[in-house]
Amino acid sequence: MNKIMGKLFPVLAALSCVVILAGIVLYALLGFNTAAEVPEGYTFEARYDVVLEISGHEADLQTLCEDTFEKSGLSFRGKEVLDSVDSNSFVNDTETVLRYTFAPRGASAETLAKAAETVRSAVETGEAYSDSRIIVSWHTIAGESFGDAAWRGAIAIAVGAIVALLYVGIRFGIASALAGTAACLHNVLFTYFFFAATRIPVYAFAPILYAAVAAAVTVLLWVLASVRMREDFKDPAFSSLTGKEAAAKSIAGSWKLVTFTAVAVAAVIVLFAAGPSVGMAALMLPMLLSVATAVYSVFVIAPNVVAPVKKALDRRKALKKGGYVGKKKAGADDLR
Amino acid sequence: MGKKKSAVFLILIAVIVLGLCFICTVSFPYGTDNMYTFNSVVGMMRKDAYLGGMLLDGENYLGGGYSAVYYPEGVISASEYEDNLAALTDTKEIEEYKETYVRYPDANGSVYLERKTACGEDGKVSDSFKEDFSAAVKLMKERISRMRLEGTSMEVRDDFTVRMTLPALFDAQSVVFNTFLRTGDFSMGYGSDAATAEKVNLRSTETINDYVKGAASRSRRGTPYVMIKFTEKGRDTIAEWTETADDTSVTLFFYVGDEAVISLPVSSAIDQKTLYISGNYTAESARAVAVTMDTALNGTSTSLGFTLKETVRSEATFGNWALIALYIAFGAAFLGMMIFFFVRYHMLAFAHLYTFLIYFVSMVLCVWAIPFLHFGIETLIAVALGGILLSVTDAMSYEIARGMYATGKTMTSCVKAANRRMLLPVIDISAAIALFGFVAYFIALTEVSLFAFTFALGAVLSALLVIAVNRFCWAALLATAKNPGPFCNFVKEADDE
Repeated sequence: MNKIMGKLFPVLAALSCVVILAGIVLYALLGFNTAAEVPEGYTFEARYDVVLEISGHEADLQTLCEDTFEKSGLSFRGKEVLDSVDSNSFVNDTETVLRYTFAPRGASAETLAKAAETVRSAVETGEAYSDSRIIVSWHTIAGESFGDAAWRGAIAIAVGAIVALLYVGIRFGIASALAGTAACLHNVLFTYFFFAATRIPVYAFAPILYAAVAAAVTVLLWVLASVRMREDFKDPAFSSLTGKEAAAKSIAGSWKLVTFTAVAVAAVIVLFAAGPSVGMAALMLPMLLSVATAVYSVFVIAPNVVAPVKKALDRRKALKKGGYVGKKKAGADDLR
Repeated sequence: MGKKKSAVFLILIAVIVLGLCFICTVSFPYGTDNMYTFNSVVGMMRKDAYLGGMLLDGENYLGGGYSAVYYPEGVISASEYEDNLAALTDTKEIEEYKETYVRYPDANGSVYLERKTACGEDGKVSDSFKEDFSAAVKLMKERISRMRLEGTSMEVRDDFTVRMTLPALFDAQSVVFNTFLRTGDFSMGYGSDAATAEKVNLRSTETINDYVKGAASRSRRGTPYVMIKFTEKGRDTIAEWTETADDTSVTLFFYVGDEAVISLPVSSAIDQKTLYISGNYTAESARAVAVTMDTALNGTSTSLGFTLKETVRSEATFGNWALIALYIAFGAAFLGMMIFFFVRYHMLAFAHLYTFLIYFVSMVLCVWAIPFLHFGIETLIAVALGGILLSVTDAMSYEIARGMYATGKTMTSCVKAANRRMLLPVIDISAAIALFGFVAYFIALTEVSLFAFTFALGAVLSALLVIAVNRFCWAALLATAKNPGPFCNFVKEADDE
């Protein structure tokens, strides 16, 4: 397994680079696809006063609207009953808004206008609504997004990860710190730009949160692997192995723990996404990529960084132990 | 610890932990005819704009947000048009009114545009209005971005109105909605009232930026204030205006457009480069006022005026069921974890159960009590990650003990050795995560900041609980066990054979 991963590493690294570069270009040109948060579409609203509420005909109005939509071939994706409030005091006033939202596919301006007209005339002639004031309207909606917090988030993740990995360096050695830094850097960049490259619809704030989760899970998994690595490298059996072999053997030894932890995190994410809310699933499921990249980097990237660093450090240590005395003095042989 | 003492200790912990769990998670009505309600800590937590739910009293909704529609001058809703038309009785006036407005985008449109303001005589939307409106949208976006509020959204409705939604947990919605209405240039003046105040006299080569650099907000020792930074010229002007303030008090006015955003009565001379204004501001309202002024000075320039209408209380973006689904998901995850621990470690799982429940209660109380934390997706993920960290480190120590027990050592020595061997790794894992989280928290904004802080807090708590609570519960549980091996589902290699 380790050998296969070692051979495949250049290919996988190149693939990561392609995704990250494509993501950077598309991010610069188009930004993220924030359709999950700021959908284009329509709303249909019926604003009514307290009289309708008191007379108990709120449900009739909802039925009227929904029957009209059905007859017009309109399918709504959201329904809300909202309390109208005063713009200054924010205290409830006497009105209520019944709002339906439509995706561009589920409706068109013409059909909505006709549906509004039908509801309006039914309200004007209907006995149930005669004492109430009901205003029916429909609107086109175009969302705006703002991802201003992303830069600060990226700097925060970078500085946070560097400080955490400095601690790892002090406690577990420079090889662990460098491998952790490489893994974190890869995961944050890959996770963030993956969504720009693939155009998967996301909430505007979400990519940087996914990157933060990727960094946090990577730190967690890598420290778990480093704990094991520190113990293993003290073992005399490891001293006869090359740096690459030792790193691969130690990380392979921690696969159960790392995989168990990653599966637990993934399971929690899936459970959170499994509810009835489509929005929640759209927010949570992409977070699985954060966990997947963390596992990938611990098993694939980190060993390939630890090995050469450990090799160089071992060589330096050996040189020090060998008692290197420096260059021969010029003409020393002649003097003899 | 003796058997009796251990049993008493465990029962005491169980009672306390279960009591706290009950307070944290269960809401119930009480009193005559269920007149009063007890709301759980989780129920009372402030929720973000994406999540929300009604409290048990059926009156107070926590979470979600408020949204309002900004109508630019020259644009009115179809209902307002019809109301205005219905109020007119004179036929000539009715005809004139009808002539003044054009329905947009067509005869079925939801808004009316005023001729000469938003559209030309021919009824087509004027290019200048389109430019003004897109500049105003850009300005609104700048302002919202700088407010850095989680869960804020903005939509352009019917091409020429703006609908803004702010999270309900933000306590200055009214200030934001109403100050963000103000468009136009920044200006300052002094006098007795805003309408007649003498404004700064700009020469043809000057702009207001020659007098004022910008505005910002800060909080120091719990007092939020708005800061206005002047240039040397601005400082001299303010000094000149206020030099007689010791004898006759004056009022300084700071305007955005025609309306004064700040009125500051001054009773002593001011000669400083930065003016610090505190008042009845909260941190958020101070930020809203500062952002409004600073964007008027240094942001997109527009003078298109707006009117605020149609303000509504909106429920959670993900719907009310999302919160209940999250509770169920959390419960399912907890159940799954406990099944794993009970299957693998039998009665020893109680030690983990106690530790985990204390972690859960502590996190709930922290999120509830720490002012800048609230219940949101990012805090929930962080709490769950902290719980996983706790479970993993507990399992690691149990596995060490299991391995040692298999080699034939006594249970007591295995437990001691496992605790000793896990001490440094637990500290290392938690310290690395806590450093990452706390550092990221101080730099990041909104969601990432909340996630980082909560995860760091979870890591610290889980380390403390693994070191302190888990080992005591483990020792106490073993003291009550007749046969510690099967009690913990630990098997000696010799037994296997």
